[in-house]
Amino acid sequence: MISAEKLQILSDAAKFDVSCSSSGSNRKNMGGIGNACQAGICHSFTKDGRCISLLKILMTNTCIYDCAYCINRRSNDVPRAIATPTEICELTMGFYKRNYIEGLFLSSAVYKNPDYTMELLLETVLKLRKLYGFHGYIHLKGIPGADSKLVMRAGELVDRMSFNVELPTEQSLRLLAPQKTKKNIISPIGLLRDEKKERLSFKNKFLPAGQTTQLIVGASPEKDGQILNLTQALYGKFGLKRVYYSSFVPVSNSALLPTQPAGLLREHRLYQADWLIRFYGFKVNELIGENENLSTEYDPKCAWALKHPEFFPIDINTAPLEELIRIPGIGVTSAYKIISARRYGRLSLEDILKMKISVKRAIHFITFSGKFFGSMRENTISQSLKLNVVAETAEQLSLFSTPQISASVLTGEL
Amino acid sequence: MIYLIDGTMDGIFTAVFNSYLTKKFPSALTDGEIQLEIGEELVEVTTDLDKAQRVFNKLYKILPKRETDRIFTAIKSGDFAKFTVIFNYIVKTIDAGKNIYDKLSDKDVFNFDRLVSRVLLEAHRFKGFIRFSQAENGVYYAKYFPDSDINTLILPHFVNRFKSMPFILHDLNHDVVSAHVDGMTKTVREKVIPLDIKDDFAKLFKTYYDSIFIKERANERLMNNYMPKRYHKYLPEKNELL
Repeated sequence: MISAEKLQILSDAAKFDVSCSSSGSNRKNMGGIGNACQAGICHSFTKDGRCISLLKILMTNTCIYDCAYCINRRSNDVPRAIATPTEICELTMGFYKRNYIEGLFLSSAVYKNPDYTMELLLETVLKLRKLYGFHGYIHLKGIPGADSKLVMRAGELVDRMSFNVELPTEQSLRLLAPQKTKKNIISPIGLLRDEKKERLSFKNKFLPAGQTTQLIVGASPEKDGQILNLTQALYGKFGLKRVYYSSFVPVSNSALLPTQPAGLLREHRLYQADWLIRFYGFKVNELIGENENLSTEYDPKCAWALKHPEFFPIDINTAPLEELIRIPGIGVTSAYKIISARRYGRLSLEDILKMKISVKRAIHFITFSGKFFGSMRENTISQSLKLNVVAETAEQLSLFSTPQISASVLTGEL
Repeated sequence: MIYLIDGTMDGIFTAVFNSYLTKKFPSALTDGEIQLEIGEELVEVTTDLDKAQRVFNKLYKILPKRETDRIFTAIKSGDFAKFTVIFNYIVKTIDAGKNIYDKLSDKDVFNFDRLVSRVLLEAHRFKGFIRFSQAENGVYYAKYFPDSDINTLILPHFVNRFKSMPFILHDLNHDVVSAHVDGMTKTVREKVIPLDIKDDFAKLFKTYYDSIFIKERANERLMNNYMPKRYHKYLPEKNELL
């Protein structure tokens, strides 16, 4: 059994991996232990409000690389440990049978060389599936630069894989993570995508929960516009399921890095924009220019609405779904509720309120069969759309502020 | 007028039947725990299985199975207003003569929808928050204290997941015990003394729980939103362990 000390070191070292989603796979229990749940399940929540869905752990935090932004970089003076595949398997099974976790998220620092590390990871998941009969969810981190045969074999066994893009541009990567190259990161993503496509009709699904990636925001000078264009390409071209953003926290005093954390608000705005791209039919160029940052004052949908008065007002009783979801304050769930309810008769403002749909922001952008209840004064409208929290804590929009807004984007069920 | 019923689904169905018979509809239904207003009349409803069956048959004709199932989910709620909410929804549905489950601008439909959603939300949450401890005989035992009577709702999930693993789910609030041993599943409704099992993995999980926390992003309020405090009692990671 793994020692508490080792577990502490290896999970502490993994805590900056954002993804903990366990959704998107419907792996069945084939006689052993475990299955996957399509919707994902959160098993606990830590004191930072993030969910624990998977056992997030590193094989080892001993690294040959020296990436400036990373706590596990070679030059950092921290305790190091390495786990054996058996230790990881037994820990996973022990936790899983007690219903502490939904599965395993296994990652690693680069130990000896990329191939050696990838072999260790592969050995672990192979053991877990074949020897321990584990059919629960596995998310495996890919090691850039590892042999593609190892990567492909892993893809057959796990539910999801992720290669971290780390930084938004190649220049930043060269500066802050000189031992990693864009090619080493992007090419396995492409290979896995092609393989998944080819095996769609197979009985044994290849990476049923697809691929994700993670990038650090605020460690390098790129603007939000650049980041979101990259995101859109990753969703479109590479078919990724999720892009995770990790707001930069200074973990070293390298001269290459900013001294200030990027702040949770920026991360939050990026996630909001990300949602609009994936579920609301927005294109990046509608939301933001290449060299702009997202507004801190307004959420991206409000900012868009304020710039496009010609699109409004939208009538609650006649507008199609794709227009309803463009109204500030109306989400996909509310839009579907409206569409269902209006089949029974015209909806009035009272009806909408009875359905507990908030119209605080929406009121200025909608009509009810022609009737308008909002304000025409630009000032009133923009005031009501502002994030109140910003004004109150304007001086400390850093790590500790705006507790409400880090919201559900960090949880694994989405 | 308030109906006093026996707290079962058949009791509600009988109440519906009586209401249509007498053309009088109650302002609320209760199974006993209610404080009457001055002048309020309490009418006792004696459950009658024939009447109940006729109401159910009527509903079965109007509603798809998915919807009748929702009614049986609703009665598992821990909300004391549930009898009234279910009664009003059934009456609305029968009056409409069709399935109006998504007419959420109607307050009776909305209240019913919310009642069901809350039961299902709690069931979903406990698929995550259930904690098993391994007893010396190898059986995995979990006790918990849910608001709604969800033991049989979450049981199939754990049976599918753990198949060959023997386990017991113990709902301390509604005194329901479900056991899954040797591929057989059984549920009993009676008061059973809860077990206290010491499990070394609990300590290891607490170690994990504490080390995965990013203190620069501390946000306990958010944590409690997702994992309400009333659920913390049986989570090893939220308690001091021996």
